[in-house]
Amino acid sequence: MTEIRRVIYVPILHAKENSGQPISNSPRNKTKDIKKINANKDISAVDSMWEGISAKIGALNLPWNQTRIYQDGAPVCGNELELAMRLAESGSPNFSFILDLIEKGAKYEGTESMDLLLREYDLLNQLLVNNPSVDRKAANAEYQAKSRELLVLRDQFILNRINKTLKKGEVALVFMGVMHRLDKLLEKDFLVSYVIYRLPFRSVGSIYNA
Amino acid sequence: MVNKFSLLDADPIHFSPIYVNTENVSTEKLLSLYRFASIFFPKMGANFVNTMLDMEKNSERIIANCPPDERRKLIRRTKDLAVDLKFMVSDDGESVIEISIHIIPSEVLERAQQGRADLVQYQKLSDDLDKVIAKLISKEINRRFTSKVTDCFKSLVGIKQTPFFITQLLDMGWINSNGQLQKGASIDDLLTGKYREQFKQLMPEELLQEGMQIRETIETCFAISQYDEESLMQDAKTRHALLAITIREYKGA
Repeated sequence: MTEIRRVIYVPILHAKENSGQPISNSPRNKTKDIKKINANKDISAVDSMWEGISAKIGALNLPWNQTRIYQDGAPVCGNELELAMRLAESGSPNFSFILDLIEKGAKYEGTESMDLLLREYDLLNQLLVNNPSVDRKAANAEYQAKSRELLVLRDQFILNRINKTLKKGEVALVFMGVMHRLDKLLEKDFLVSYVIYRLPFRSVGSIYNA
Repeated sequence: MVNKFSLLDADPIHFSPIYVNTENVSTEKLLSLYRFASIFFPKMGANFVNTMLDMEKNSERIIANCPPDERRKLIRRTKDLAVDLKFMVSDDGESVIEISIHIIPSEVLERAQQGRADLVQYQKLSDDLDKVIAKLISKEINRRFTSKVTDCFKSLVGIKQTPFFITQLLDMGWINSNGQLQKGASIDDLLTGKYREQFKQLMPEELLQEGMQIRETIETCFAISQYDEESLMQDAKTRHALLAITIREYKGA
């Protein structure tokens, strides 16, 4: 009998604005103090998102020494752990949380292709170039289109990576940005569950018949 | 204002366009329609959309079963022909779902023959469809949650010692004497806004947890799809900063 392999899928946002007023509605000429307050609010919103994720993952009581972590943006490079420590030091709550899980016994796996991440970095460079003559809306649309194509390749690479590295009896804990569609690919080979409700796009009927 | 959600505003040519007016769709009625359709037209409904998406994705494979000679003949003979199919659901005379399919057979055949399957466009179409379905699902989940909240309110309205908060909601016109939430009353204000504390005292813990979980999920799933440019830029900046460190460390290793 084939053993069903489990994946816990955690959709994440790298940055999340304060849940009150959208950023675009805030006044353009803020004083330094307001900027500081807003920056703190952004930070606290990101932190509280990670607090929520942490509580929900904690409640799953996973067997940590049989859990393998896969992370959006973490390349296969041979020094994955050092890199995670460096990113946690830079203030990323995502990577701080991963270090906590590693301490509990979870294994951390290089997840992405460095070549594809370099391409994503180039796209982000083009998007974020500080040129006043650039039409931001058009630049954003161009980025979305190119990034979408790249995401297809990145998701395929990650799927192969999980298939190759996840050992028998292990659980995969996958942290992926919300734009990824990796979970749809994983559904073919793995039993995918989510720490928050995931709107089951493919089974509207089952919702209606609940 | 009719807010139509167009699924095909870009290039795909196999079929177009699909409109779903999610604002007007009553999920309750949609459920009845879904049940009716699944009894009387088991091959229609969801299967119909799946077939269309399948056609879009696998046209190359489908056309492979047709011998080249026959393909060429078909392309020649169907030139200038167009097929228009219209599927529409209306509620009290107002259109709530429109699937209008415009097919030019010769173009479909040519495209499939040349193997020009456009997976990126297909993905976009599939994502757009997901968004429409997600919107309908979130509407339905909210409706069910609201109905549970109403049941709780109902049990508190009209009892001897009606809690002050309930009287307050009645006075504000947020609920009626049956405990039903009125138009304009915001579940969000009860869950996270200024009435949260009072709401929390009255409602069972599990109900609050469920409400928060739904809210969180919908927020997460829709955070990016809202196309708030500045929040997308903020996310891009954070990813850029993390990737810059990753690349630096990788090169230095």
